Amino acid sequence: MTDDIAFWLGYLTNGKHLAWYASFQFTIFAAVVGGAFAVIFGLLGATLKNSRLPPLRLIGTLYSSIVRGVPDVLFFLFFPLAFEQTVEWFVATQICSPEAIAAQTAAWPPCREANWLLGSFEYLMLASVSLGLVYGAFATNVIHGAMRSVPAGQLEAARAYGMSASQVLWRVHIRQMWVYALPGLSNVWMLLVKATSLLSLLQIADIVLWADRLGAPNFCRLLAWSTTIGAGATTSSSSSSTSW
Amino acid sequence: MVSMTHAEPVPSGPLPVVELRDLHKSFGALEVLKGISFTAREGQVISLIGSSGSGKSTLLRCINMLEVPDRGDVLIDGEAIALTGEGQRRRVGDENQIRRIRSELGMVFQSFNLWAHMTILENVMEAPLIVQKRARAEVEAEARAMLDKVGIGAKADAYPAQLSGGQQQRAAIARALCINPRVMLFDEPTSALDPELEVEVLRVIKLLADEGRTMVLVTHDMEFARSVSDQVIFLHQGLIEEQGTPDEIFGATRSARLKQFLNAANHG
Repeated sequence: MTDDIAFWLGYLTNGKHLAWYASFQFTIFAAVVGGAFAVIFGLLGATLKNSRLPPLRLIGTLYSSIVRGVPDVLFFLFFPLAFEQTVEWFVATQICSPEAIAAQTAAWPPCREANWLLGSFEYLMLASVSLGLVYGAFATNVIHGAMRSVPAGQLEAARAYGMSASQVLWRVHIRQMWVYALPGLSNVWMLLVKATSLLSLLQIADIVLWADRLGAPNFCRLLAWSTTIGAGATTSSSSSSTSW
Repeated sequence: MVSMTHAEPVPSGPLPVVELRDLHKSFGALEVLKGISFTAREGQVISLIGSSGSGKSTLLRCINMLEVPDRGDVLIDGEAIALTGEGQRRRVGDENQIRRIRSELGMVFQSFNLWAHMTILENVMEAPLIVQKRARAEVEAEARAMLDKVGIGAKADAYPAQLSGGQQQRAAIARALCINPRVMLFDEPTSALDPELEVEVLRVIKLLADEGRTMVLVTHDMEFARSVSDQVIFLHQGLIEEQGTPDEIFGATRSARLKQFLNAANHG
């Protein structure tokens, strides 16, 4: 019996199948973690947007309008790249000796010790955070609208009974808000699930490689990124989507 | 017809619980309160009457600083609520003080304002647990007792939306009672209710008045104001037009405006 099962399983466990399972796992992970980040960024953004202080309100508004307006693909490219290089730059300012910098022949990182080697888990997390950033901007708008739909009287009652501003926010405002936010958030969730396919298509590993090559002697960031988008799109379509 | 079932207000004796001194409040160019002072003493029931827009609700909301008066002071148990700034930019000055004071003022709203995501019992227990930080077992026993008192003990685990308006308002009264308030503030508690539901809420408020609770009540119901109050204050265009015992106000009306108002109320 077990032999039979093992025999038939052979039809489901060749390389192609395993690759497919891996990408399925990736999609689920990126969607769930990306979704969690999106809700967190959305709550933060909406709280900023609802703030009484104009500068905070401005930050929330800028986040939701700019990030929603810029093509998602740019963020999927920009964020992992920029984040990795920022971390490396910070590490470099701490550990690179002048000799090590002089000995470094590649354009990036400043010295070899500062290199941050990203494994597939780190890439996956970076991909999820970028997803969260982009869809968090949509969630910000949805949650902001939902927060404004909560009947003002219930917030007033909470204040009238002596709750502090943060108690009103957490115990009444945010809990009531979900009812109004869920339809909009389910839209965001659907878009986010679909966008995970975009991530696997883009092949962040390839992009970072390309950025390194293109940026080599005098690294012009904007040029490098604008070129990588074109390059990334063409290379990723020919490379397998399973190197994760 | 003059009934003498209620005690005459005592000019001195019981301590003042709520004291308003020369309150002014404007919304933009509209001046709603133009200098109002009155005192509610321990155990007194004060009714605020007047036509729509006369400033009754605004006045009540100034007591717990849901509206901050542009000028004038509010004293609770002799303690002045700290305010900073001038005119319409005036703000509460001390967050801790106002939270402490608010936690002793039980407010009942026209539109109930029960928290829709909590059961009735949770609604009643919320402020004692979260704001007053009392022990859960004690609060739950008291909350259930309060719900029984207002006659909806059986609805403790229902959500507000599952209750009738009258039941919701009684739950809101239980919520206000459970914080052991120094004063109960009622903002037109029956205006959103059908006449037959109104009765059950009024009965509860009457019960509380008879217990000797200090209450300030904004109402459109003249019969009720007459039966329940120690003092009635008639507001007209942001000023106290006439003030006195129910018998003085309803029996021996002096001001022409109040006569006109009472006539309209009786025939309305």
